[in-house]
Amino acid sequence: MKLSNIINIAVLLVLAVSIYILYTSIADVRSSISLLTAKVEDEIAELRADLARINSSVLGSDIEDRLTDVESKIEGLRRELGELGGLIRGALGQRVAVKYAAGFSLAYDGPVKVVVDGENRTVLLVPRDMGEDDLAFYVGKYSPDLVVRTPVERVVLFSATQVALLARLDEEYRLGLLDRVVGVAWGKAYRWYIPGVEERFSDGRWTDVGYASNPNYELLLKLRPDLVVIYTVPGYEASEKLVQRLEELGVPYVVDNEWREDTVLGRFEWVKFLAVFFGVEDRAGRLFDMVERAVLSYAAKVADAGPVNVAWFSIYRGTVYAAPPGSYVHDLIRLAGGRYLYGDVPYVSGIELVVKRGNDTDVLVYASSPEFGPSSIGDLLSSEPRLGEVRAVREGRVYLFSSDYFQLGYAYTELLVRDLAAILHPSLFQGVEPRFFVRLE
Amino acid sequence: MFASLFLGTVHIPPGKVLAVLGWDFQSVDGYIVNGIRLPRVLGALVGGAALAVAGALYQILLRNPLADPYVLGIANAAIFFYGLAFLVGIQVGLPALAGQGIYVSSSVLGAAIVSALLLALSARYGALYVLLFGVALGFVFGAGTQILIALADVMKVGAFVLATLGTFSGVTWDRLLAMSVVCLPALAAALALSLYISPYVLGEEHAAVTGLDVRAARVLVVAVASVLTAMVIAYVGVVGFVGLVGPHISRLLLGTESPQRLVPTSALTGGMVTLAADDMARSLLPPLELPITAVTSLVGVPVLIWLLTRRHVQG
Repeated sequence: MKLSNIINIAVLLVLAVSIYILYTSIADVRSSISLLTAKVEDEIAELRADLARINSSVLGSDIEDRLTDVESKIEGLRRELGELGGLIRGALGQRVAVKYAAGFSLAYDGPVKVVVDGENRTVLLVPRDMGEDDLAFYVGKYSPDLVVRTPVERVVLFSATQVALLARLDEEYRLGLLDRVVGVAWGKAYRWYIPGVEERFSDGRWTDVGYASNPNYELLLKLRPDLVVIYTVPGYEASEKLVQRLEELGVPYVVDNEWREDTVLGRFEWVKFLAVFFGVEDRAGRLFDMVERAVLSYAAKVADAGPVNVAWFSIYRGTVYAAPPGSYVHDLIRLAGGRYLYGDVPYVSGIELVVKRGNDTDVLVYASSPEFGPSSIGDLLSSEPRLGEVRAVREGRVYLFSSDYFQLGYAYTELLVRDLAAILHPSLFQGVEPRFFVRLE
Repeated sequence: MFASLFLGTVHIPPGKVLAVLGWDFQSVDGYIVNGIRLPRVLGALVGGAALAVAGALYQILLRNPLADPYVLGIANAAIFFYGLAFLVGIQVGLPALAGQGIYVSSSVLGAAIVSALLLALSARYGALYVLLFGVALGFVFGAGTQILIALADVMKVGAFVLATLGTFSGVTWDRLLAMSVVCLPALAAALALSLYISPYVLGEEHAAVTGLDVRAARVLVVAVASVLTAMVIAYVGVVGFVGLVGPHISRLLLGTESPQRLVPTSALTGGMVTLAADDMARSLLPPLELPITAVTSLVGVPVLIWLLTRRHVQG
């Protein structure tokens, strides 16, 4: 049998299976709807009969009991309709799955969503109008650490990258998510590069609640947030105190630890984590799919181009601070068709290693920005003359981060990968000007 | 010292080290030995000697074994002014010295201000109060540095913290030269001063009785020790414990408090302890480099305890 025939048969089989799965899914929904409809009709008929009995009753002594019975039946109906709504939402494709991120999970159960956050806490997301009985049922089922009524309306964010992700969703789908943010833990600790943010602070729409590690709790409480999104650093005392204090004050918080992801797409996937609290995870899912496709296409484009040796570090007083092996940066370099030269080196090492591997270094990404790093290769050599032994420095292939790299780079992950791929393989990306990297002159 | 040239994050066979030592700056191994290890080793010797001599001078002046540049707030002041230049951009102008000029002059200014305050206060209240005032000023400048950090851009703070962590890894020939141009004359001045202040061995009152100008002695001791401390902080960062442990080891080895013997010996013990600590910092967990202050404590404390207990047993 010819290969093409085998492929055709395989495609037909896949199509047949897909159609079958689709058919059974639709059939499930339809049968559920039919069952519920029949049930609703039965219940309504019973209610009518009850009302007729009430009307015809001469004594009316059992009216209270009957009314209670009617109310409980109406409540039962409402719950079943809620489940039906969940089924329909699921059938319409609003559910998203988590593919790459290791730090959170997301599951659906009828009208509720169950999120496990960056500190392994179970968070139950329930519709704003869910009744107390239903809520009690789901709380009993999941024993969550936190219940959040969604979509959230008053949110406080604790990092610029969270702001950047919501800004990206707003930019793509005009969702107005940033309008539902009421405060940010900023502390004027850095400059903003996200458009419109400074105006939000200056005109009072956003309140600066102080440092992320030690916020002003009075301001935070005054904002009456229905959700605070923090991040944590394991073993960092300030981080533990923050969590402890929020617990004591009863502030509803979730932990967004995107920074701990080891992969580029895993990190970006946290956009779904944020979006689910706003009830827009379907849009986040679409955005993620678009970014994933772009990233994988760039990776495929450079896959056969031959690896380029990349060093990625900064130096202070001769001590080298390199991106750790197995990190997000390591994955970024791999996707961009590079080979990370310091994949066997811990975070801190000596200048000797840089000199030893100097002749193998094709490209150096000096982990700093134009504001804080060297202004030119001459400036770099003035602060660390021994970098003259590195071939990438001699050949002028040294790059810094753009000023907005740390705020916007991760929200535009596909551009990060494209930029680095273009730097490493310029012949494959002619005409591409890096957006998040700056070449040192 | 020679053994230190064989240690590093990159393994170079001893025969190769000897073959390239002193002349080969072209090959990779030659550059590592002559361009990286040799200035680093010499820098550790000079820096360690500077800190230990500064500590010895303060201990003699104050007749207090706990005195050292860190306890007296000199280091905190130098770091504060370094921070003013680095984090806020308030620069104290002196001609650039090997790319570090602004930070050197800022650190020296900080050390000089604290020294002047200490001198002014001690002139009125006596040498004993120098220690108390020094501790208090140390806290004030420490708090000042924390405020600078709190107000600065978070990216700058990271770089500042890394820049103030002590390490000899950044000592190049240029920086060694710039540091030595100030430190070696200051060390020579300290040796000369040790002869001048020898009556201090029995206390300031006794020194005054012998006809020594104690006010001049105070000025000279604090000035020389401040310059030595500030230079090390500006070029190397914070290297703790050497100023304390160096003189103690010397004192215990010599069995004397005599300044003219304690100061030169402290230069040697300080240099050797710092060099040993730097060797360990770069070779204990290669290619990881440990902070020098952690290792100076790890090296210095056991030696100090051993010497103290030995003297106690002998006593």
